[in-house]
Parts: sequence; C-alpha cells; structure tokens
Amino acid sequence: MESFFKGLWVFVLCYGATYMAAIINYNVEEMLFSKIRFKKTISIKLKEIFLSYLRASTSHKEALINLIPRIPIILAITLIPNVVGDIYWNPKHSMWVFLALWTLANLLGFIKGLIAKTPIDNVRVEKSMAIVVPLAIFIFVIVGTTGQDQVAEILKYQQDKGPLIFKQFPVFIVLGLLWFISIEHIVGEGFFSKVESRIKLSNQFDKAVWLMLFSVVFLGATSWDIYLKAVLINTIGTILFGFFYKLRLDQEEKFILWEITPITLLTLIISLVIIGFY
Amino acid sequence: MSILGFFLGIYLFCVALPLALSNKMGRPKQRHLNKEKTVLSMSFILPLLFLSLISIGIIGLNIAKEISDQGHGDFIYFTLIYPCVSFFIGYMYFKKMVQH
Repeated sequence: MESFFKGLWVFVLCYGATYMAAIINYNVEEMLFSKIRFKKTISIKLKEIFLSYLRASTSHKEALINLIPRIPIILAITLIPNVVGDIYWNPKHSMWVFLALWTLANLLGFIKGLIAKTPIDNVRVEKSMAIVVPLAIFIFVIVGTTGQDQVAEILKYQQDKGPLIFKQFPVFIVLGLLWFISIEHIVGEGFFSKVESRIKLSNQFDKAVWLMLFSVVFLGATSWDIYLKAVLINTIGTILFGFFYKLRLDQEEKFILWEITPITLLTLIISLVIIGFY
Repeated sequence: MSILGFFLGIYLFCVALPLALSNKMGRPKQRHLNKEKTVLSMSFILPLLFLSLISIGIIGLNIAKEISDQGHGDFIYFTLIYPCVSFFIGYMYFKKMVQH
C-alpha cells in the first residue's frame, strides 16, 4: 500500500512540477511577445489555462482517448530526475527510451488524428513530423560525445568532467538553435499564434519536458534546479528569437513560409558541418 | 504496486478531475483549428524533414557500427525506423489534407 501511494506521489510531483514550468514558460513567452504588463498577462493566461482544462474533453471516453498519446510523455518525465533529485524510472538505455517514448506518443497522436472524424489535432501531427528528427539527432550527438546512453550516467559524467555545455558548446549551440527553430517556429506556436490555448499549453508541456532533459544533459542540473534552468533556457531562447522576427497578427496572414526556409536550411547545414568536425 | 499508483494519478488528474470540473462549471465552446495553416506549414516542414532524414541516416549509420559492437545495435535501428515511420504516416496525412 505504501508503494501505491509512493507511485501516486511521484506522479503528482513530476507532473505538477513540469506543468508549473510549462505555465511559467507560457506566461513568459506571451509577456515577451505581447508586451502586456505582468499582472494582466498572468490573470488572462491563468483564466485561459483554466478554461482549456475544462475544454479538454466532452465525455469520459473522449478524455481517455485523448489521454492515450499523452501517457508516453508523462512516462518520459519519470526518466529525468524530479524535484528531490530521484530518478523514478532508470532503465539501462534511458536516452533511447526517452526518444522512443516521445516518438511513440507522436505516432499515437498521428493514429488518433488519422481516425478522428472531427477536425484533426493538426498541431500534434505537425509536431510529430517536425520535432522527432532534430531531437533524434540531438540524442545521437549526446550519446556519441559522452559514450553514455543513460541519464544517470550522463549526470555522473558531468559531475566528473563538468557540464557538457562547456565541453562541446558549438555543437550544443547549433543543435539548440535547430531545436528552437523546430519547436518554436515550425510547430506553429510562434507563427500561428491563433491556435487554441489548450494546444498551446499542451505544446508548452511537451517543450518543458525537453527543456528539462536539456538542463540535465547540458547544464548538469540534478534536482529542483532542473525546472529553474528549463525556464531560463526558454526565456533566453525566446528573447534571442525576438531579435530575429516579430510577427503581428496582420503580418501573420501575409507571411510566406518559404521566406524563412533558407535560414533554416543554412542552420541545418551548419549543424551538420559542425557535427562532422567534432 | 507503485506503477499502479502512478497510473491512478494520471487517471485522476488528466481525466476525472477535468471532467468533474467541467460537469460542475459548464464547458466552454470548442474552437476549430485552421486547416489551411496546416497545409502551409506542412509544405515547409516536408523539405526540411527530408534533409533531416538524410542527415540522421548518415550520422546514425556512422555511429551504429561502433555502438552495435558494444551490444546496443537494436536501439540505433529502432531510432532510425521510428522517425521514418513518423515521416511516412505524416506524409499520408499531408496528402489527405491536401486532397480534401
């Protein structure tokens, strides 16, 4: 019985902390882009978040179907150390398990989208296509440079030799850039800001999970600082991207996607060249 | 037993609680997503994804030999197959969206 409550507690701890990080990221991004005052943004967004929570499902059956693609992502959180520094699930090849769970979640999302008769959750489908591949490259590079494919081992490696970001920073910067382009701007949060807040928040949740992994494998975060560093990475990334472009709603309608394609392709080529060097 | 508690937590917080709250407080109207935006963004993603697939193939296969020598070969092949499957299902979806 004790272990039963331990499982429940681990879920509340992992899910709650990740959800908090996602909400903070969501608010920070909205504040940086819309430039509304902090207090006003927080109150508007909290209301939106609560409404999206109510809007999540119309029936018990639908709620369960919607939950299925989310389960692998929730399980993926347990591969990362939690607030108190414990890794709840520590399989031998946890980096690959993380990627496999992530891809499985997206595949389940695909299948759900393909068989759905209602308007398809297209952001999920776009995400499945766009994110998995750059992130798979990221995992390959991490495993290739450290020679470890377990999160706990990578943490140990960093304790001995210092955070990875100081060892292989050009690779990580370019991969980080590629990752930000994939998540922020292809998936549709930056360009298509009209997507429903429920989906935005769900995207933020997914992004928070990846940011947590980033802060563990890049910056050697081990416990509560994972969430702090995840929020910091997101804020810095959002500010940096703020220099590159700012789209208003009227500009968004006229925006031609292929205008940004050369920049993205250039980033990809640079990243490949740098990976080649290292 | 502990995994049971974990899944009960998922059920309680992701299914039961939102449903109970929405039954009590009323459900707001659901907004529909824009289909044209999907087609536009897909047309952007596909060429990029194709390049990424090539790169992941090259990088992955280079590392594969070394890692498979250490006995981790299956993981490499799985991580190569998964994105390919994702890509083709995504492509089918894209075709379906364009045809409609």
